[in-house]
Amino acid sequence: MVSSNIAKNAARLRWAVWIVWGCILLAYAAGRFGVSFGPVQVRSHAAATDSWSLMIVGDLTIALLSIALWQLSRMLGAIAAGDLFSARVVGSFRMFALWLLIVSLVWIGASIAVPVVSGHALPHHYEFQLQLRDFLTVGITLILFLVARLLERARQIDEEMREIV
Amino acid sequence: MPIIVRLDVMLALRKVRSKELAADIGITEANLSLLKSGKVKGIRFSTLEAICERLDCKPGDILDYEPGSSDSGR
Repeated sequence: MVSSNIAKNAARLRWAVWIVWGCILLAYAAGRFGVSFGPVQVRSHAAATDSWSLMIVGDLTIALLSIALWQLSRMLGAIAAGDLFSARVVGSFRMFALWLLIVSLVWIGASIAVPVVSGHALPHHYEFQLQLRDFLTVGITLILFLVARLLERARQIDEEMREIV
Repeated sequence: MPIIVRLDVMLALRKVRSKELAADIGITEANLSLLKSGKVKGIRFSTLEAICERLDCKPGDILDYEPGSSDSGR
């Protein structure tokens, strides 16, 4: 009963992930190509500053985030199919955490590297912005790795329980 | 593993079939077969109680300990 509820919730959450993923891609594409809806014009921050390097970082981030969300949807799909602690669930969750960590590290790295690459840095003066939010994301993804290890332990316990009649 | 499962002996003594016992105690035939061959990591007290009740025996009639026996059948 409990596992069937979890499976139902996972299936609903999977739909939510797909919808959010689609919205992110649409919003990004609209901002990237400067789509206008009557008086409303959607422009991304990177496009607004006309910095090609920021645009590349944005494209890369969206691509990496898409991979992370795909792994998340794979994990939720496996849970919805009834696998609570299977190797597939644990593996997908670990990959989701890994890709999310890469996204946040790319974003931090880009914040440091973009001013130099785009030529905005003045001689003898190097300035970049780091936001607390980026470090929080790294921290949260590191916690996800701990959760992945806990899931792995749960999988081993589940396997052992199956061998007890 | 030095714990030996003697369920097959008790089944023969009581003239009860595996299928019958599995149905009576509420476990699958596959699990009962694994238990008979000793290819399990453990047995729940509830399962043991149900077997003892059905076969009218004690846990010691089903489980035995043979020191030095490392053949677990795995």
